[in-house]
Amino acid sequence: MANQLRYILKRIVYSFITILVLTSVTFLLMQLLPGDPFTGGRDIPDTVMEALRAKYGLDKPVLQQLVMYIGNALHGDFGISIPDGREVTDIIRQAFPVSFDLGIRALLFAFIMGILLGIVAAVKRGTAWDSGAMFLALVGVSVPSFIMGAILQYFLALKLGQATGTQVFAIVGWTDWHSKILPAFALAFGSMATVSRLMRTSMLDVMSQDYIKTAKAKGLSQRQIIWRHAVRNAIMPVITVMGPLVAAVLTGAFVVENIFAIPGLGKYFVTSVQTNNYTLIAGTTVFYGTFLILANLVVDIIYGLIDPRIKLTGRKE
Amino acid sequence: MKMKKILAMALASAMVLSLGACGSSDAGSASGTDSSAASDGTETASTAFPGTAEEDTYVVDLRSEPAELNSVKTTDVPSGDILREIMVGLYKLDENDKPQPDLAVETQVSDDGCTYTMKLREDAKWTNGEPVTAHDFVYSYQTICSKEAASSYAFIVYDNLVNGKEVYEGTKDPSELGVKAIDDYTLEVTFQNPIPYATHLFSFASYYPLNQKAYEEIGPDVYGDDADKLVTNGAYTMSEWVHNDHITLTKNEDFYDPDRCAAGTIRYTMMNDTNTRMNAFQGGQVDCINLAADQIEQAASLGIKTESYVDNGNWYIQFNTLKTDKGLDNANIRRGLGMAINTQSLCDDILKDGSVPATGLVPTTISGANGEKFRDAAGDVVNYDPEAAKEAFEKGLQETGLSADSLNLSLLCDDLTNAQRTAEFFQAQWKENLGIDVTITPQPFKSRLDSMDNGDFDMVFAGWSPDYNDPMTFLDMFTTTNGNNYGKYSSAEYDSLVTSAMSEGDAVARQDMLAQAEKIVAYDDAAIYPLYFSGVTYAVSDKIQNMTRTGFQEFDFTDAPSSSDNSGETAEAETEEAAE
Amino acid sequence: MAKKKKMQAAQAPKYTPYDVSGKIGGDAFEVIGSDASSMEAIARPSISFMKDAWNRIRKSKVAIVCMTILALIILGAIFLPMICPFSYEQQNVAFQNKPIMSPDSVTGQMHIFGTDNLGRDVFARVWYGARISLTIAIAVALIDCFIGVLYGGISGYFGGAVDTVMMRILEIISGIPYLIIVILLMTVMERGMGTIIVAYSLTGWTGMARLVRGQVVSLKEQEFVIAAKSMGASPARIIGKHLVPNVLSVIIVNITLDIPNVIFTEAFLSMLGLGIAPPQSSWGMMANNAIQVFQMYPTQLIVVALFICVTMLSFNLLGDQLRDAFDPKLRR
Repeated sequence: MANQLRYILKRIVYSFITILVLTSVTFLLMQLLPGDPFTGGRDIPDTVMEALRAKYGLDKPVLQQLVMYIGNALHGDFGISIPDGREVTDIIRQAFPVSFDLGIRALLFAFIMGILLGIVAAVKRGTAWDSGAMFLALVGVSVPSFIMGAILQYFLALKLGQATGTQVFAIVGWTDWHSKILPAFALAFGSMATVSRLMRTSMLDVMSQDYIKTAKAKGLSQRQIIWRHAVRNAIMPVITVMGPLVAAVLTGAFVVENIFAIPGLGKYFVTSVQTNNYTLIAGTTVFYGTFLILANLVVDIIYGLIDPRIKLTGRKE
Repeated sequence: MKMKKILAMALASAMVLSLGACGSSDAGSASGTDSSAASDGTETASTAFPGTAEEDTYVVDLRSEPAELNSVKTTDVPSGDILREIMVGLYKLDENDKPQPDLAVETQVSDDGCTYTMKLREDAKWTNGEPVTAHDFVYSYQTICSKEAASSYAFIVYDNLVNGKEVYEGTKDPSELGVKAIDDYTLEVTFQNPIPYATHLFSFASYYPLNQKAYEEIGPDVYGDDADKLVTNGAYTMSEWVHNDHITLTKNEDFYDPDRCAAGTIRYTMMNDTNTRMNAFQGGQVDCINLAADQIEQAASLGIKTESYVDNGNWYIQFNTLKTDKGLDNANIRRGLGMAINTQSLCDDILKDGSVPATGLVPTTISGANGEKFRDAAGDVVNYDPEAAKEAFEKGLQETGLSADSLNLSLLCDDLTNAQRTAEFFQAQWKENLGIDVTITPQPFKSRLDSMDNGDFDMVFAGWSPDYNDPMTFLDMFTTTNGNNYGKYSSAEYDSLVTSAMSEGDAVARQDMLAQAEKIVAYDDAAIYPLYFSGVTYAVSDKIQNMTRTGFQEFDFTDAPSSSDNSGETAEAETEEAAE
Repeated sequence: MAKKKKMQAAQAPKYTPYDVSGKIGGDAFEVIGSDASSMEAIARPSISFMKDAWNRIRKSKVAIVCMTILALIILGAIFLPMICPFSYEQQNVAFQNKPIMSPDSVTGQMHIFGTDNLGRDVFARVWYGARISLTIAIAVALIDCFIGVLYGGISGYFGGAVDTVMMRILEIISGIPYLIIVILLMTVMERGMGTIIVAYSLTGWTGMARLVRGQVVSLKEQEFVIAAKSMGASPARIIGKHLVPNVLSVIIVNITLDIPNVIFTEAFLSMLGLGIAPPQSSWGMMANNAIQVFQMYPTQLIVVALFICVTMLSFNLLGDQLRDAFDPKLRR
C-alpha cells in the first residue's frame, strides 16, 4: 500500500511536470501561427497595433511572456481572452459544465450500450445475435459524426416532430431531456463501437477460463455465470480504454456541439486556434491536458486497485 | 466599423440565395418596404411557418456570439447588431440607412463644415438611473483615444477628431481632443476636415456615449462581458446572456420613446451550422435565419417566405503587382484575368444568394452626391467579356514576353467551403476562357491575411465592407501608402485624385474625382478586379414585423426616430440627407 | 533436443511380453514396444504463426468478403478515374446538383451518380476521392505503425526511467492542440497530399505506441524473453525477434482500425477547410459539401456516405476477423 501511495505521488509529480512542459511547448508553437490576434480584414495603424500588443503583454519577448503566463497560471489567473475580453477561467467555468454533462451522458451511453452489445455478442457467439450486435456497433464507427449528427437531427428531431406533432427530441439547445438525448447519442456512437468490440473479445476470453467451467459444473444458471463471474472479470480491459475515450469524447464534442447548437467547450478548441486567441489556446490546452493526463492516471490507479496482477510500481531492470 | 464583417461576409457567403430580386440600387430599402408591408397587412401572407410560440417575442439567429459589447472596443458585426438595440447614439440610421437625429435634437454645423454643435435630449437615461449627458460622449471619445483602452478601432475616432492622433499618442492632454461638453446637454465635436458622412459616423458604435461611473465601477477589462456587466441607454435592455447560446433583450420601459420597439422581447440565438438553422426554422424554434445558397431553393419549395438585400460587401481579386515574373505588373494581363470570369453565372449558379455582378469597386448601396447613389453616377466600370479578356491577356503576354504556360499563377482564398467552391469556379473559368491552369491555395482567415501582409501571394480572392456610407471607404484603400494595398499597386494619378478628393468641398467635383480614380484602379490598371456585390437572403416566419435588414444594419428592431422630433436646423451640408 | 531423445529411445531395453493364456494366441499381437520417437512426433504439419492465421482467415466468409470489397475499391480507385468520360474537375455549372443516372446536357454521356453543386461528375469525383483518401489513410497508418512500434517497443522494453520519460513525452505530444500543428505545417509546406500525410502522422502514432508499449511490458516478463535474455541476446534482437512478432497481431489489427480513423480525421479537417487542395476531391471533402445540401439533394450524400461506410465497415470487420485469427487462444 505504501508502495502504491508512493507510486501515485510520483505519478502526480510527473503529471505536473508534463503539464508544465505541454503548456510551454504549446505557448511557443502558437506564437508561430501566421497572423496575430488583432488582424482583421482591415489594416490597423501601427500605433494602435503597438498599444494593443502592449495591453496584452505581447510586446515582450516570448520567453518572458511564457514565464509570466506560468507564474500567473499557478495563481489561477489564466489571462483574458483577446477578442472578447472575457477571463479565460470564466469561459471555461461556463462552458465546461455543459461539455461535461454532455460527455458524461455520452460515455454512460457508450459504456452501457457497448457492454450490453458486447455481452450479447459473446454469449450468442456465432449466431445472428452476434453479427447483429457487432454490425450495429460498427455502423456507429463507420459514419462520420457530422453526418450522423445532421441525419439524426433532421429525421429524429425535425421530421419525427413534424410527423407526430410533438417534439420528442429537441432540434437545438441543451436544456431538458428532450434536447439531451440526440447529442449524447450522436457523440456516444463511435465510442460505443470500441467498447462493445472490446467487451466481446474480453468476454470470449473469460468464458473459456477454468473458473467459468467450475461454475458451470457447480450447476449455476447461465445468468448467474454471466453476471456474477464473467462480466465482472471481462470488464477489466474496457476500463483501460476509458482514458482515451474521455479524450475522444471531449474533442469530438466540437462537431456535435456545432450541429445541436450546444454552448460547450468543444468549439473553443477550434475557434481559439483559428483566431490566434493565444490566451484561450493556452488555457484550453492546459485544461484539456490536465484532464487527459489525470484521466490516464486515474485509469491506471483504478486498474491497479482492481486487478492485483498489474503491478503499478513497474519493477526496474 | 465593419472590420470583422469581412470574416462574417465570408461566412455568410457560405450560405444564401437569390431570387434575383435585388441588385438594383434601391435594394437597401427593399427590406424596409417589405417589413412595413407586413405590419400593415397583418395576416395576409401567412405561410406554413407561423414562427415561434412565445407571444410578443422574436427569435432571430445571429449565427455567432457577439465578441465585445463594450462600445469602445467593439469591431464585429454581431456586437454591432446587439448594441444597435440596447444603445442610442447622436444619430440613428433609418430603414434606408439614412442617419436621423436621435439623442441630438438639434445640430448646427459650422461654416467650414468641421464643427458640429448638438443639443441633446434631456430625458434619456442610463439603466443605472443616471441621465445621458454630453459628458458621457466626451468620456467615451477620450477613452477610445487612449492607448490603455486598447481599442482596435481607435483610429476611426482619432483620425477624424481634432488633436486625435496627438491625444492618442499622449503628446496632448485628453482635454484638447475635439470634443467638448459646453453644458450638460450641449455637445461640440470638431473634426480635422469637413466630413460628408459625419452624421453617419455619429450613428456608429464607436461614437456611442459611455457612462463613466458604470465603466469604472464594473472595470474596463470586463465591461460588456455579461448582461450584468453592462449599462445601456437604448430601447431594449439585455436581460440575459448565455454565452454561445442566446441573448435576450427586453423592452426598456424607461426609454424615452418606448413605442419604438418592434416586440417586447427579442431573443438572438447563435447557430453556426446552416442545416441546424434550417431545421430550427422549420421546427418553429426561430423566426429569422440566413439561408445558404442551395437552401434558398429548398425554402422556395417548402413555401418559406424569403427576403434578400445587398449587404454593401464587394468581393474582388487583388493582384500582387510586384510579381513581375508572373506578369502581374502588367495591367493587360491583370485586366484579362479579371474580365475572364463570368460574374453573372457566378451569382446565378454558384452564390445564388442575392449577390449581383460587380459593375465597379463601390457597391450599389453607397451614397454619392445630390442624393444619388455613387454607382449610378459613376456608371459601369467593369464587366465580363471573354473575347476582350483573351485579347488583353494575349497582349499583356506579348508586352512582357512571357508565355501562358510559364505563369503558374496561384489564387489565395479563404478556407471556408464556399470560398473554396467559388475559387474552383474561377479556376475553371480561367481554364476555359484563357486556357491557363491556376492553382488554388486556401488558407485559414488569419493565415490568409498574414500571407497578404507579407506579399506572399499572386492573386487573392478577398472582400471589403465599408466603414461608412461613402465611396472613399473603398477608394482610399489602394493608394501607394495605404496598409490595405497588399498588392503594392502604385499610381501617381490615382493617388493624387484620391488625395484631392479628400479635401474637396464640392460634392459633385469630389464625386467626379472618385469616379475617375475608381476607373483607373479597377479597370485601366486593374490593380484589383471587382467581381460581385454580396447579398444576403434570409427566411422569415409570419410573426416577424418591423424588422430592418440593410447593408449597414444587419438587424434592427427599433423604428427610427420620427423626423418631426428634430424640427431644428439639421444642416447636414454635403450628406445625402438633403435628398430626403 | 529431439535427436537426443530418439537415441535414448533406441537404447531402451526391449519390452518383454508375459504369457497370456487365453483364446487369443500370442501371435495375434505383435509387440512393438513403446516408441518414444513417435510419441514425440508432431502430428500436425508444422505451420508458422502467419500461415495458420492466413488459413483461418481464408475460412472466414466475412474476411473474404471484406477483402474482396477493399480490393475492388482499390482497383476502382486506380483504374476508374482513367476510363471515366468525365474528369473530376470538369465543371458544367448549368448542370449542377443532378440526381443519379442523368445524361449530360452536352455530351449525353451518363452521370451515373449525378453531379455536384459545380456540375461535376460525382462518379469521377468519388473514385478520384477514393484514390486520395485511401492513399492518405494507408500511408498514415503505415507511418503510425512504424513510429509507434519503434517508440512503444523501446519504451516498454527498457522500462524504468526511459519508459517514464518517453511516456511523458508522448502525453505532451498528444496534448498539443492538433489544429496548431496542422495549420503550422500547412504554412510551411505546400498544400497537398504529402503535407496532409505528414500532419496526420505527426500525432497519430501515439495511440499505436501506447498499445505496443502495453503489450511489451506484459510480454517481457514472460519465460521466453527471460530465456533469451539469459542466453545473452541483445535488446535489439529481443525486441525484433521475440517481442515484435508476439505483438504483431495487435499491430496488424490496429492498422486496419487506424485507417478508418485517418479517413475520419481527413473528413473533420476538410470540414474546417484544412483538407486537400481544390479542385481535387477526397471523401471527406465530398461528404462535407454533400451534407450542406443533403436536404435538397440527398443522393450526393448517400453516394459518398456509402463509399465511406462500406470501406470503414470492411476495414473494421476485417480487423475483427484478423484479431480472432491471430488470437492464440482460439487456435485449433
